[in-house]
Amino acid sequence: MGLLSRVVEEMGICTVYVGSARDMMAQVKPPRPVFVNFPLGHQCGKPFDRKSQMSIIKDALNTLNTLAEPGQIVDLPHEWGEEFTYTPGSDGLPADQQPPARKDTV
Amino acid sequence: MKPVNYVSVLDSYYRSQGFPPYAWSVFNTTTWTPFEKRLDQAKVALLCSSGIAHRDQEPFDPLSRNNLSYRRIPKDTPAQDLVINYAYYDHSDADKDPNIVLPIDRFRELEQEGFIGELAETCYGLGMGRMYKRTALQTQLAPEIARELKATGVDVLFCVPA
Repeated sequence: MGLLSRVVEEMGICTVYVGSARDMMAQVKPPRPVFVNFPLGHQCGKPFDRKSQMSIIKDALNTLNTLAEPGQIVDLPHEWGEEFTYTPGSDGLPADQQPPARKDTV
Repeated sequence: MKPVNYVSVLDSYYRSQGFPPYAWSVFNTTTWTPFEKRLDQAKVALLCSSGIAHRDQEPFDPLSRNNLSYRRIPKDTPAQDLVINYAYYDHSDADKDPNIVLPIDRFRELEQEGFIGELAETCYGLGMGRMYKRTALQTQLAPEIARELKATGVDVLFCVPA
């Protein structure tokens, strides 16, 4: 997705990229990366919490006017409220049913 | 709390499964188009890669790989009519309220309150799955979407990766 936003931006459309995997964003460097420190799958807020959703979205859109340096990550101040981790294989499928990882085939 | 280290967690997961290290795309620079409009005059399109589609559309394969297809979701779709088929993250909350990955209700409200000029007619739902065909992504899918955005006068693409 970071790759997609880079290409779309290159073709003349401004992009804003709202993600929750900060280290991945730092690697792929989309033009306007906005980091929300929430568990994956909640990039635009908590369910049915219109206020938090609006706040994240507006903050993200405002980077169109405020971002100082292309590719610089903007860390939003929103807090999830409790610690969370990520375990591959915990995404709804047991580990033995996960599709295998494969090397990039270009 | 500190951000989760997804890259190292995934690297060791792949290693534990006996696969070679994933070749992450790493860039030192980025691309750039200056934003020269006012937000309240800009036309904004939404794009989300979480295997999301309108309930009447062909659902994504939750285990998809290298899937370069996308669904055009009309802007007047209520979030409750969106469905997610994707095995690569926990979307149990997003199933209940899809706005947290494709905030379509919120963007209609932003349009109404004049925060943005306009929400584009079409939102984009992708379900690439594990993506190993980066060249095709960069030379086919992304330019195709960019051309469509240009043709419909879109100024900003709001991307939510998942």
